[in-house]
Amino acid sequence: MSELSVSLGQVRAEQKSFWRNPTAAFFGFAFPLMFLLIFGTIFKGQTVCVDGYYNNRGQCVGGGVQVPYNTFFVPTMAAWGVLTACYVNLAMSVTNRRDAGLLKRLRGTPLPPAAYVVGVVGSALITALITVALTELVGHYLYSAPWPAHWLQSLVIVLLGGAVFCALAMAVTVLIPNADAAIAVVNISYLPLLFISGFFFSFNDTVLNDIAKVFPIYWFKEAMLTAFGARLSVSGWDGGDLLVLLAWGVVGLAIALRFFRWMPRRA
Amino acid sequence: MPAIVVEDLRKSYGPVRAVQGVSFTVETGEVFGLLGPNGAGKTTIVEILEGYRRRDGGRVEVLGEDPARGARGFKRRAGMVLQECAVEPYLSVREVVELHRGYYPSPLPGDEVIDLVGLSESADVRVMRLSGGQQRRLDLALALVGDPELLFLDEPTTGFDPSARRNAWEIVRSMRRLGKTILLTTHYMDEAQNLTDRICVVSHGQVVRIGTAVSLRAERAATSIRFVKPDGLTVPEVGDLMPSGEDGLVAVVTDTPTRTLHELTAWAMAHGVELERLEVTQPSLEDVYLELTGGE
Repeated sequence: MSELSVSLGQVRAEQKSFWRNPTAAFFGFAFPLMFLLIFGTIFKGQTVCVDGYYNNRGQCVGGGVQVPYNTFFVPTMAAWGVLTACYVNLAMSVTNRRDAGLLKRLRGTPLPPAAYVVGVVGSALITALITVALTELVGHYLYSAPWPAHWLQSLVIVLLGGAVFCALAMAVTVLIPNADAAIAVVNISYLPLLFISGFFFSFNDTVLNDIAKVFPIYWFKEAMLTAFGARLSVSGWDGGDLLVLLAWGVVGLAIALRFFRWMPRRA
Repeated sequence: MPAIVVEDLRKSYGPVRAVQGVSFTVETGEVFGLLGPNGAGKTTIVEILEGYRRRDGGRVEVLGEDPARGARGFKRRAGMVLQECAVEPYLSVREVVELHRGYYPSPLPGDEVIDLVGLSESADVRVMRLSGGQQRRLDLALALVGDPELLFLDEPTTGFDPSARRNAWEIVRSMRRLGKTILLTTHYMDEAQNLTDRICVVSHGQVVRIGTAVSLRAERAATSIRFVKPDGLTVPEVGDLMPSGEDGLVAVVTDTPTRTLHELTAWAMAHGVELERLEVTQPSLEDVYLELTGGE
């Protein structure tokens, strides 16, 4: 058996497990799509001030450009879908498996650790791509959002962002003491950032804005908006977005390589 | 060449000295049992041999390699049944076995392994729907799938019902017939007695005794002659007299059972009484074990 076919076998097994597990499939896939339908319906026909905010006279200021809500929220919900598949679901499933001794069992086999990681990461990226594609289709046909402005760039950003959040997911498992704590640690580490990174609406608060800009979620959203054509002030690649995102990816990878645990923690 | 060499192995967890200078050798093709009460250090020893734990000191060689170096070659040649290790719950038995086959250079046919552990009828059942005993049999299947030379079985039948245990024993025996080396830990006496060529009794992180079941039993040579004490008579002083226990039998413990039995029966006949429920018993391995491990 070559390394490649072993890795592909792992990806296949991961995909099977994912779609057969109702909890994983819901929280790792259907959850953001549900919000796509909810927000798409609530804010239908409204506008959003991208990269700026509405002042008290209702004008889009602060360097922002006004776009239809659907144009904005289809890429942000797609970004959330990537986060869900690559960060939330990966961190939870790896922690659960570590605690159940599944990772320990694999360490006793000749399966190379890298092949296992390729399996879970590859599977997460596939799920992310399916989520993004479905978000696009629903957004386009149900809420008349435009197709992505830059197809190739969108694909690259989804895969790149997905890989960064996979690395961060592996890193965050180091902080999660046991499976019971997984959902709390994972949610606290990303849900507040979704709101202050402006995934759902724009707002005017420099402090929250500055906090958001420290973290990769904000920059991933920016990169997605750019690629999908929702940031009218920017076109093509924006290296600034990617810099912070990639730096976090490197940090995540370094932590995961150094501190990742295969063994369950026993009392 | 021995399959496993352990010399002066030491391991502490903080102030707890879990393994204190353990040495033993397992020959190729041998079924070797590590027997001891819970907390004796059995699992620590096995997990060091499997490459899961680092040792603090001593020398360890498994299939000619140091397991602490985590080489893949060694993992290809050894199969492990671990305690409390889950299998992917949403895959079927067949899917898991096939996935694991892919990890090894020359695996056994999947159906053969599934059949060997008696899971043929559940081959398409998802792991999460298997009973506890079936999951343990799947553990065994996954340990066997790579056609290993060496098998680590850490309490492989804990939680089995009696018939499942017999089946597992049969599998171990057939592995032995194929020439595989097996290191087995257990706290079941009958399991050690029935399956192993040699037993290593471990207590408080130290080796108390190594030997065959027969040789260990022979260490406590004394034979018990037990019977219901006849009313109103005093048993003659022909050996150590033990008072009657729950079963109502007194026991005379002796190193010379032929002579003592003769004396006792002569005494009974002289008084014209029958020695009710008369029995002569060898010390069980359990007696020896309890004595060696301080009755834990």
